[in-house]
This record gives sequence, C-alpha cells and structure tokens, in this order.
Amino acid sequence: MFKKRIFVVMMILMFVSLSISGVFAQDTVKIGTLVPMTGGLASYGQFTRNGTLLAQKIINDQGGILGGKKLELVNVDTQTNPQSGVDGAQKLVSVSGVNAIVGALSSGVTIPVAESVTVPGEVVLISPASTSPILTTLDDNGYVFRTVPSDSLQGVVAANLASNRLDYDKLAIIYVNNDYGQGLNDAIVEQFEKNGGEITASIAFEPNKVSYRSELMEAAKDSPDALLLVAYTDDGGITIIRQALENGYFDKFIFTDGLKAPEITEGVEQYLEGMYGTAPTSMPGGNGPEIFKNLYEKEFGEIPPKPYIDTSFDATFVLALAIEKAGSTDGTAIRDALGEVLSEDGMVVNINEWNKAKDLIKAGQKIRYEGASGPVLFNQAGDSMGAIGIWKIKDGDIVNDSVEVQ
Amino acid sequence: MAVQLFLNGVILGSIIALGAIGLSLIYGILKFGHFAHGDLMTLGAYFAFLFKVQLALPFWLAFILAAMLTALVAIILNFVLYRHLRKRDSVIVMISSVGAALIIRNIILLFWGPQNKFYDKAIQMPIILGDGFLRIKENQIVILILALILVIAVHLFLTRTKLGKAMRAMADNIDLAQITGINTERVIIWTWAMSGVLTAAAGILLAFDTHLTPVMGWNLLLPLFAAVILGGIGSPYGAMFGGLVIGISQEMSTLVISAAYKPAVAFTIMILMLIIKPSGLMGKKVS
Repeated sequence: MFKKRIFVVMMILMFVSLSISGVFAQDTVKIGTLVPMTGGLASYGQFTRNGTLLAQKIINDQGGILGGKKLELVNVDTQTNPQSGVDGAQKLVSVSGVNAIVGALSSGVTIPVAESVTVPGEVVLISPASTSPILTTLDDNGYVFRTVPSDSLQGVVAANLASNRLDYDKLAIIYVNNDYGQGLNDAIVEQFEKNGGEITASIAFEPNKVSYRSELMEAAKDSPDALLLVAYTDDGGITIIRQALENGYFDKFIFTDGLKAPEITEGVEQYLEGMYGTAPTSMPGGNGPEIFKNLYEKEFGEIPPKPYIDTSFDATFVLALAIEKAGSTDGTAIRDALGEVLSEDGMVVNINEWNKAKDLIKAGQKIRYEGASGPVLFNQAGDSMGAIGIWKIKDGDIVNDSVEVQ
Repeated sequence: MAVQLFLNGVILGSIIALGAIGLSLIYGILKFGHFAHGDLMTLGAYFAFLFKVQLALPFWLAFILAAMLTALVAIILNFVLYRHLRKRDSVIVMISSVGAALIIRNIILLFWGPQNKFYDKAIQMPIILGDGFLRIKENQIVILILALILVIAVHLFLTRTKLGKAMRAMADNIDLAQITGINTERVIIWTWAMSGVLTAAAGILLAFDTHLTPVMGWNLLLPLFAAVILGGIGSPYGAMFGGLVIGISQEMSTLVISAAYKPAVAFTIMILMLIIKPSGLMGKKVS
C-alpha cells in the first residue's frame, strides 16, 4: 500500500517536472557546445567553455535573443574522442533539440560529428579550434564553419619558422595520428621541402601511451636539427617532450597550437627556454582582443596564454547573430543567415555591443563583427580568414612573439 | 640500438610481469578474467601520488601504504561484488569486473582530474654508457631492482609458505584443494591481497618511469592478458615469463616495424599462442 503511494507521488512529480521544463523551454534559445572536459584537450576545455559562457552572459545581459528570450548553452563533454563526440552531438540534437552547435575543438572529433550528425541533421556547426585542412573540402552543404584559419596556413608558417628564422635544414616530425596531426604534418612537409629542407622522419603516434621512446628513437635516427611536435598536451604531447629530453633524443623543438599551454614547461623550464611554436591568433588591428581580455578577466580571473578561448566566444556570438538574423532556430535558416549577416564593409559591432547588433539586424544592415579574435569573416568554404601567431617560451612562460597574416 | 630496445623491453616487461602474476592467479583460482586489474593498477599509482606528492611522505613509505590500500580495495571488491556473483556464470563476474573498472577509473577522475600527473615534476637525465650506446635513468635502475625483489618475494611466498602452496594448489584444481582441507575462502582473500599489492607496485613503477594518467592501467590491460595467456592461465611463473616476453618483443619489434604498431605485437603473440598451445607455456592442460 505504502509502496503504491510512493509510486503515485513519484509519477506526479515526474509529470510536474516534465511540464515545468516544457514551460522553460519556450523561453530559451538553445545552442549546443561540444567542449572536451577530459581527454587530450582537457587543458583547453574549461577555458574555451568560459569563452562561450561569456558570450552567453553578454547576450542575456543585453536583453536576450529573438525578442527577449534567454540564450541557453548546453555542453557535452567530447572527451576529445570521436565516438564520445558523435554520441554527444547526437544527444544535443535529438534530446536537447539544438539546431546550432559550437564545437568541437579537435578536428578528429569535429569531422566525424559533422559527417554523421550535424550535416545530415541540418544543424549548423561552428568549430572554434579545428584547424585541419580536411574541413575546408568537407562535403557539408555549407553547414560547417570555423572561427579559425586552416592549418594549410599554420603549416606554412611553422615550416618557414624552421627554415628561415631558425635555419634548420633537417627536421623530424612526430604528429598525433588523427585528422589534425595528419593535415598539419602534410602542410609542414610540403612547405619545408619547398624551402629546400629535408624531413628526416615523419612519424604518427597513437595517443595515451605511457612510453614514446621507440617513436623518439626512430625520429632521432638521422640526426635532425630539431623535432617538430604536432600533439595535444594531455594525451601524449607532454610525455613526448619529457621523454625526448630525458633520453637525450632532442634538445630543440618547434611546437604547434595543440601545445600552446604553460603546462608543457612544468619541471623542464630550463630545457625549453627559447623554443618556438605556432598557433592561430587574433588578426592585428581592431580592439576586440583587448575588450575580450578585460571582460574575461572581470568574469573568470586571469586569462591563460592558451588559444581558442577568444574563437569560442566568437563562434557563440556569431551563431547568436545568425539566429537573430534568421528570426528562428531552424538550422537551414541559421546557415543562410550566417552568410548574409557578416560583411567586411558592414557597420562595426564590438563584442560587448549585442544591443547595437540587434538594432542593426532589425534595420536590415550588415555587420562587421570586430570579434574577440579579430574581425570574423567566413569564406566560401566556411573557414575564417585569420592569422597565425608565433609564440615563444620565455622564463618558463608562453609569450606571443609575432603574427603572420594570410 | 638493439641493446637499448632490449633494456627498455625488460623494464616494461617487468612491470607487465608484476601485474600479470595477480591476474593469472585470480584467473586460475576464481576462473574469470579480472578486467578491473588495469584500473586497480592505476589506483595504486594514484594512491602513491596521494602519499608522496600530496602528503609529502618519502617514496618507500608511499609505496608501502599505496600497496596496502590497493590490496584493501581489491579485498573490498571481492566482498562487495565478486563473492556474490561467483555462484553464477563466470561471464557475469567478468562483466561486473568491467563495471568495477569503470567505477574505479571515474573515481580517479573525480579525485585527481584528467590531467597527467608526475611523482616528480623535474626530469632526470640518463646515465649514458659507451657513447650513447646505452641510456638508463636512475629511476629505471630502481624499477628493475624493486621488480626483482618483488618477484623473489612472490617466489618465496608461493614455495615456502603454507598459504602460498595452498594458492598454487587452488589454481591447479580448486575441488581437489577443497577436499584436502584448504580453507578456500581465506585463500581467496589472500589472493586478492597479494594481487592488489603486486598490481599497485606495477602501477607505481610504471608511473615512476613515465607519468600518471587515469587510463594508464586500462591501456596496459591487454598486454597483461597477453602475458597471462602466454604463460598459461593460473601459473604465476608463466605470467612473469610471459610479461617479460611481451615487453621485450613489443620494444624489439620497432626494429622492423613502425612504432605505431607496437601494441599489435602483444596480440599477435597472444593469438599465435592460443592457436598453437592454448594452455600456455607453463599452464596445465585445458580439458
């Protein structure tokens, strides 16, 4: 008898909660985010998520979206793993009912998510960090965008850094065995050989192994001048750096964007002093980056020298612009609006001027969005025009050195 | 280069061997593949991290405390989970151990986070012998010595003590052991305790050589099983030998094939062994 009563109460509670969530759902506009909290890119996860949350805060503080509705972000942890990423995207689309997603970070996750979930489901996907050249040529019906430039550019910058600035003739490359690693590796090899250099080894590695000594031994075989490492910090990058140093295989390195995190120097500061790396960065000019830095630090404290925090903000903001322009949350409408709303010679909108953006959209004006990572403009393939920065390790910290523009 | 690879193989192999001894005994006595073994190994390594880094105790003390705590967790797992399920199909026990593995791994994630951890942030420069002919770190010498001591201790335990002999008897034939008056329940608890200590040691040594990550043990689980099958299920000596063979052949294989395919070597050996001699090198005949 008692059990039965509990059951009845439970049923009532369940219906009440269902109907309440139904009521709330009407008042919010949902955007999904696919940010890794664990796995290889875990060290970027929290901060890129903060980037998206900051955009959400600005939009909601300035009257919300689509006539006063609140913007709601639903995050799913991709674990930097393609399978979990696809599952997560599926959940966002079918359970949470989103039609626009910011993410994923790793190209190795973004591409399968696009191919198997978002493109067939007519969901707009904007990646704030996937740099693989493969994304450019993906058959995506225009549903896939990114707020970072392709690695075909980063590869050129990294190879030129090695051959021109650092005068290396022989280079060994170790890269993570996924779309990101392969794409960047190919771009670097092509440019470095064009520069007259020799690639002595180009070795793919499987993430999350405890020892990379055999890979390193193979890479060091023909005595290259330096090791160019394409990896993420937490699923192999740091291990490879430490084992390369510990076993005396390499003492000179060039890093790419996946390793632009202060964690890589912990305990090995003196050995990595003066090493260089590359990463997408904000376009010079415009005061978006500065405004972003101030807003971020007011909200979350000091901003770490990691990439993709600003591009995550931009991806969220631009999606919101497109939803506002489309006047609905329909995937196809958002896709089309993304192409229409942004223009190089539109009216300038800064990252904290959501109200102004809404007015401009209402008036049918085009917008030049001075984003946190510089002006955001998409080309035909949905890639952002962008810049690659060269960074340097100085006194154990990561400092930005110079910027190369496309 | 071949000598260097051999040395790397012996180091990896002795770590695998330590983990495989316990796995093999459990497999032999309780008749199920204990899939949480790898994560128990990770747990041991993180316990040592707790004592050594977070509580700043000396390494030897952290090692002993972590080994004891891991043994305790193994015994608790036995009481809470496996003892009840053992009466049913061994497949059910096996699946439940996969569940236990996931629980342990996520507890580790919860407490220590997903980032890589190190017992010592600073790196150690190797001792270079014969003009780069052989490089070995001090840590690796410590690993080899500790592994050797533990293996000798296991040998003495299994051959000289009543409990050790009972364990071997049960791994050989549990019914016969029971008839001769061995208290099987007690021996099972001690088997878990010993496995816990050895796997914790394997995890700590692995992390000592490289670093800690929540998936370190899970990723080593399949080489562990390969070592057990190669040596013969239920045979602790076979497991030691199997571990060394797997470790050495994985490292040596990079002379001929790309390092990316290293994990495949363990499976190739395992599959070949299953086809040619399913009972393993030192195992009893399969009925």
